[in-house]
Amino acid sequence: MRASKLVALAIALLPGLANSGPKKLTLLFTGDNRGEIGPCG
Amino acid sequence: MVLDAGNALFKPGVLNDSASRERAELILRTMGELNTAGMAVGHLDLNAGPEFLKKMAARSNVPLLSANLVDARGKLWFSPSRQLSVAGARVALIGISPLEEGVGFASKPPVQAALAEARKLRGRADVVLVLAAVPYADALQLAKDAGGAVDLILQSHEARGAGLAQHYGESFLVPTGDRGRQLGRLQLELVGQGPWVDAAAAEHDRQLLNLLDVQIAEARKRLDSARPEAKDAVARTLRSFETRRDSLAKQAMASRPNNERTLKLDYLTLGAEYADDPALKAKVAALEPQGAGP
Repeated sequence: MRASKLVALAIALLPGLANSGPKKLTLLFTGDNRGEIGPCG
Repeated sequence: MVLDAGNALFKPGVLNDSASRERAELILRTMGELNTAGMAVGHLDLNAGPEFLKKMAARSNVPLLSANLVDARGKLWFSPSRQLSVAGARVALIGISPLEEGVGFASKPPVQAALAEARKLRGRADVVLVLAAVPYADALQLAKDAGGAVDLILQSHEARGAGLAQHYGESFLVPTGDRGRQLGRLQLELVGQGPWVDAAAAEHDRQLLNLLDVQIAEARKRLDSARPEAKDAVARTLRSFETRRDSLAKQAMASRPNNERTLKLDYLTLGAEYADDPALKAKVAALEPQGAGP
């Protein structure tokens, strides 16, 4: 998991969600991170 | 809303050493700081056992979900689902784990467990989403059997990487990336309770209609200037373009009812263009120095 980038990006994206109109939502998701915390590949 | 489809915490093949547990705790704490709304319990989250996982998740404030992971007495280890309201939409999250047994746990068939939970929640939710930490074949079976009870299935197990949203029955099956290389993003717009439409497919239809309009205009010009002996052939070509356009326009209208729900899927690849979070980078460096590079 490029954890530090993930956190910075998610924080940057999340404030925009509050401005979305009713019934519009954004889901941010990960899966199969497989214990990665540093840059990989 | 931030979600994780599972298999986040331990590396494949690594069992239960202290360094692995520390890394798993850092990942869960970080997910908690991101206000992760739900995470499915996958095969690679259970290396240290369900009891350790449950305690660690409670400390990190990460809601772990599994509708089919049970203890020796058949009691669920984790909540099967949760419901929340996001931007005026009622969202039901369900988690499922793969069919397997380990020390202190076993699992019931995941597809049946997800369907039972989804059918309970369907009437109370605008979006029913399954975090499916199960093999792709099981996620596919769930999509085919759901019959409208499930809207979205976010699947993890084999690290299939990023990909397209696949439409099966009334559900969309979405791959969730691999090894933290990307952040998936699903933008949903709920006009009503009608069928789901993939915005990418709708955009493709729109581009194709535009292309046919250009071809029809060119064919009409050719028809006007064609020699008499060539007019029949050009007229046939023009009619074929017009027939295709009418057919596509009807199909596009039919797939865009006025109560549709639209999804748009993309992935943000975590490369140099995104800055690191300095505080977390320092924690990673302390735990795994070789992993803190640029």
